[in-house]
Amino acid sequence: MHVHRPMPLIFGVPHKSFYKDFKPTMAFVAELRPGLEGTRVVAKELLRRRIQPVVICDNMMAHCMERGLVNGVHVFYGRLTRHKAVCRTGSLIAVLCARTHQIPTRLHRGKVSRREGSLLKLDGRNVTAQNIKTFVPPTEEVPLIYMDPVSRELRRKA
Amino acid sequence: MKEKEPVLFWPVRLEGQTLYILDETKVPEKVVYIKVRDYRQAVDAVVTMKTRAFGQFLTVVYAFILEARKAVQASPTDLRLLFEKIAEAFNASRPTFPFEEVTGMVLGVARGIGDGPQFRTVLLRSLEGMLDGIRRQRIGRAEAAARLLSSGDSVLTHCHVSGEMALIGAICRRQKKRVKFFATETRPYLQGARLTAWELKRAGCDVTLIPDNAVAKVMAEKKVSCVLVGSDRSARNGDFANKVGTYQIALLARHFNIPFYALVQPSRRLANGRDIPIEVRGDDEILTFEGRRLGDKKLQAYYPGFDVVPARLVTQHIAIGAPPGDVGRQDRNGGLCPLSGASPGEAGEGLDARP
Repeated sequence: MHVHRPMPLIFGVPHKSFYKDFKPTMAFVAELRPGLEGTRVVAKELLRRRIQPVVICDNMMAHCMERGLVNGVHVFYGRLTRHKAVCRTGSLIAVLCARTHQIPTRLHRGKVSRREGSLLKLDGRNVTAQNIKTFVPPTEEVPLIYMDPVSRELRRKA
Repeated sequence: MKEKEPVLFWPVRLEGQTLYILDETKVPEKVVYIKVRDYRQAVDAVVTMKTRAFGQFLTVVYAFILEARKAVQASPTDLRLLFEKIAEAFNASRPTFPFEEVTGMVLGVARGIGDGPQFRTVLLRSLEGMLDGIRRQRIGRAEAAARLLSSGDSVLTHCHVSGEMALIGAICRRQKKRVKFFATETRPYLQGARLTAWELKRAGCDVTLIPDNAVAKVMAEKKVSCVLVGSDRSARNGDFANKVGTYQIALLARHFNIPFYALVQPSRRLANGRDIPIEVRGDDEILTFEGRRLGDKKLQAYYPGFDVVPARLVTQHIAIGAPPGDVGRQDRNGGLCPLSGASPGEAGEGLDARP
C-alpha cells in the first residue's frame, strides 16, 4: 500500500494499559524480528481495537520518519533504571531516529521478552545456511535522556 | 585478480545463443541458472526478481548481445530498431533501477557505429569490451575498499553488494588482515542472510548475522569499526539510494561516530537524492514468507524498496573507476565526480540495484 498521511509508530509490545489512550485510526507497527511479535501480537490487538495496523520491517523506521509519515513514536520498557530503560532491541534505533527527525517519543510499560529466537529460520523455515553465526540480542538499554519530558515524567511515576 | 570470483560477482553469463541467469531466489539452497533464449524471457527474469542488483545490469546488456548474436542477417537499421524495442521493454520493467541509463548506454554504442558490413561484429565487440571494462573496474573498487580496512576492523554491511563484499573479504585475507563482518538480515527479502552472510562464509570470512533491529546495539557496544554498503543509484550531489534500511544505518553511524563508506557508481543525471524514484512494493512481500501468511489477513503493510542516504552522512564514497590509491573525490558541490575519465555509462551506471 502507499501511505500519504502521518500516523504513530509502535516499536515493541505494549502493556494493555497503553491502549486506553491510544486511539488513532491507523498506526505503523514494526514487525519485530526474529519473533515477529509486531506482526502477530501487536497488529492483532490493534485490529481488535479497530485501529488499522500498517506493518513495516524494522529497517524502515527512519525512511518513514524522513518522509514525514510518522507523527509520534511509542517504545516500551520491561525495566527502568535511574538513567536507562531496558527495551526490546531496536528501540534505540526508533528513539535516535525520532530524535533526528524531531518526532515526539513516548516511553510506556510493555512486555519485553528475554528469549533470543533464531535468525536462521522464519516461520519455521530455513532462510540461509544453518552454520552461520548469529547475534540476536533480545533487549537493549535506551538512555532516558533521549526521551521526551512526558516520558521522563512517566519514568518518575513508575 | 588473485582471488576466486564469488558466484554472485558475475551472476549472468552468455554461452552461444543462451543466456544463463543465476536464480538468486534459490540461493543459498541451490546455485541454479535460468536459461534465457530471447530478450522477453530476460525481461521476465527481471520483473519476477529472479535476478537483482548487478545481475539486472548484466541481464540487460547481455540481452542486447544475445539478440545481436541471433540477428545474423539483420541490417544495421533493423538491428537498431530491435535494440530500441528491447530498451523499451526493460525501461518499463521496474522503477528504481536506472534501466533507461543502461539501455541508453547500449543504444548510444549502437548509434555510434557507422553503417557497413562490419556493423554487427563491431557492435558485439564494443558491448563485450564494455563488460570486460566493468569487470575490471568492480575488482578495482573492491581493492580500493579493502585498502580502507585494517586488521582488527569489524565491518557492518546491509543487503548485498553482488559478490563485492566477499571479494573485499578475500582480498583482506590475502593481505593477512583479520577483518570481521556483521551482516544485517535485510528484511523482507533477507538478502543479508541469504546472500551476504552465505557468500562471506563461503569465502572463509568471519561473519555474524544480526537482525536489522540490532544495528544500534552493536554500534553502542563498540562492536563495529565502520559501515560499508553498496548503492543502487547516485545523484550529482553525492546522495545515493540503496536498499531500505541504509538511511537508518547511516544516521546511527553518524550518532555513534562510526565511518560510513559507500560503494557508488557516480552519475550526473539526477541533481540530488530527492529526484530518485522510490519503488513501493506489494504488502504481501512483508506479510508472507514462501507463500505462507505471517499475520492476520486484515493487515496492511508499507514496503518502500529503497531509501536515500544524503551525502552529508557519507564519510567516503568509493567510486567505480577510481584510479588506484584514490577512492573518489568530491566536486565543488560536495557531489562525487566520475573518475579516471570514465563516463557514467562506462562506469556501469546502476550496478547494484536490488529489490
